Amino acid sequence: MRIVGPVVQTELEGNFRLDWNLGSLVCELLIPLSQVVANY
Amino acid sequence: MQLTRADTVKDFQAALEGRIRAISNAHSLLAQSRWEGAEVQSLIREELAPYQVTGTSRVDISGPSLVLKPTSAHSIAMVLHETTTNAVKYGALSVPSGRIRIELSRGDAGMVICWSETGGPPVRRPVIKDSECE
Repeated sequence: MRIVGPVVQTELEGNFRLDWNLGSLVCELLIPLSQVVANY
Repeated sequence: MQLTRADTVKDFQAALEGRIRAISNAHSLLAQSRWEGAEVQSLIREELAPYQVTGTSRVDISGPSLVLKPTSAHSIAMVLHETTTNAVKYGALSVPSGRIRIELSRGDAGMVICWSETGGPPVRRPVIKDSECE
């Protein structure tokens, strides 16, 4: 886990990245396309 | 690894039950798809279902359909559970006026789930015990 300004950035199982912006209460979860099985 | 930071046995039990329920929901969705994958929107709806009130719209989900591989579905289900729990305890779902907007989109490096809360109490710096610092 690392803290970038108001953002807490976490790597999950080496696959996902969670950016939790405590200042604005916004959480972004990044999922690599390799983990997706359907077209979108 | 620490399972939970619950202060009481009752809190520990509630946290454990919530996590088991989240895994169970993901299992059910995967079973329905013959273990091919689970749709993120369905995972979100299952997790937030206990906090939806008929006739009100506290949660808005938008974006394209996104189906995850089974192992990823379990991981994302746990993330959604923890995020929901945080919203219920301290965020938008802790007050009647709070709202949550969840947007799915495609980013440069993959799919993005953007969870934003409005109308909740102001953010306060958490009190962390010395024993919880690593």
